[in-house]
Amino acid sequence: MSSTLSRFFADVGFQLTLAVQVAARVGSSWRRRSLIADQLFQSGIKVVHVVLLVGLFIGMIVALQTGLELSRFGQQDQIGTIVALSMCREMGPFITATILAATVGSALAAELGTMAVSEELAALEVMSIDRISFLVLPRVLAAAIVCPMLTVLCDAIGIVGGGLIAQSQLNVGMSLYYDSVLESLNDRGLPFELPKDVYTGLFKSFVFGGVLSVISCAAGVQATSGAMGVGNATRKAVRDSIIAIIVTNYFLSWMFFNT
Amino acid sequence: MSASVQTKRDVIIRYEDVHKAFGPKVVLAGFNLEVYRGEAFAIMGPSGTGKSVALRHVIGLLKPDRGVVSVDGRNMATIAREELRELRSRMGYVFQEAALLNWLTAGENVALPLRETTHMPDSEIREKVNAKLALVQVPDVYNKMPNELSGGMRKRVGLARALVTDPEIILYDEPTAGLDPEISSSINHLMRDLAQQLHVTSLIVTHHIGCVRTTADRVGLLDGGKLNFVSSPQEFIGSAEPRLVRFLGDKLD
Repeated sequence: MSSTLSRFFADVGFQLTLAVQVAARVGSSWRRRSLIADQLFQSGIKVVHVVLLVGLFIGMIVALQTGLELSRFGQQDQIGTIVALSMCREMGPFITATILAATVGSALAAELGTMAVSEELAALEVMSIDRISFLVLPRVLAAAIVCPMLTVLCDAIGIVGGGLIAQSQLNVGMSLYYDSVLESLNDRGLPFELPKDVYTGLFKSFVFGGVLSVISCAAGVQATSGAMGVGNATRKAVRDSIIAIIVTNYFLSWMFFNT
Repeated sequence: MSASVQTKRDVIIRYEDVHKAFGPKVVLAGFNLEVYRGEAFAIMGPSGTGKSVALRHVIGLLKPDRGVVSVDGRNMATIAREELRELRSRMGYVFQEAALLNWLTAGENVALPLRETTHMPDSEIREKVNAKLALVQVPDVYNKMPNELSGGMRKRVGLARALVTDPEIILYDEPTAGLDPEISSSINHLMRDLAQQLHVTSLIVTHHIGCVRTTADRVGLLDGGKLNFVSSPQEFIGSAEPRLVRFLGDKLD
């Protein structure tokens, strides 16, 4: 028990240290722009279709499950509000971050883990190349940028999916559905006069992207013992990322909506 | 070379009573060695005896639990970060599996230390990289990815990367491991030629006697955490010492 706890604190300590080291190097991002662009492609474009597909069905599920209950009370007209708030506040950011943890996070851990066990990280150190600036910073920045962008897509497609169910299963017309969506997202504020439910969701996504990529990179660079070590690092990256996303989600939701 | 070097006694790498353990496994236990400037010293020993561990202390990848490893008079365990960078820029390290970054071309791998640690213009870097690739006899691989290269070619590219900063010391970690005898022999001759042309100090970790014969001025056997039987390759191979005879047994066949 005590060894599990000490391992947990050692892991968290390493992840926090890595996060601080990355933050301290953000100023040198311009120098790494081509690496960041490459990572944006790897983290973003390659998972767009997954986010769109999952987002569509999540919106449909929310609409179906909630709409059937609302229709018992004759309140199915409110389905647009529920889908929009669910997608923008929670489902969009959380589902997108979970998809990224499973796809991009696992790939980051496997890639850096393979580099660790094949001595490529040692080679960088021997050449006095800053591994955090060269390897970790581009991956973390790319994930933190891409996660909100994908969340916008996930939110939008989820709302569309909810609309399809509203019309086909709940007999709620499209115009009524979209009116209630827009009305529910009317609490506008900073930044850019975005609805609060949208910008808080995007902020959460930004944090989730950073958290999952730091955790995944930390698992990768600590990998040892060949292929088995890389497998363990990958598993640990996905597991820890999803736990961290859920815990962080609670605290961010509490921070934004506990008023 | 060895006679003139030894009379000067200009020690560039020194291990003094170095101890290193990983958990309960003791790897180095009173390891002592002096490597003279300009010589090629080979550390031999069975697999898992800590040869690579000894080598990694020289470039500061590992710190001893006890004892001192110094390079050019500077303690590698206590050296300041900036000084370590400067010292590392004077050393090249050839990894067992070459350790090339697989998303960069061979040329970009060789260029990496110059791009990342100097302000050299691109044209000059390109020129220097091409020169080093030619020096290690793979002039046409600049645009090839590491996975398109054979094991021997990857080793050569790894060697070119180690040479690109014009180091004074080259550390070789099993430079011929996993290669067939013909390619091993060509790598050995390349190492010897480079040492003669560039007047570098070489510290070589190997379990191939052919590598020692071709490249080393002196050799020692790492066994039980200590370096024993330090001598010339001829004396080493011809020794009647039972432990050496047992270790060298099938290697001499």
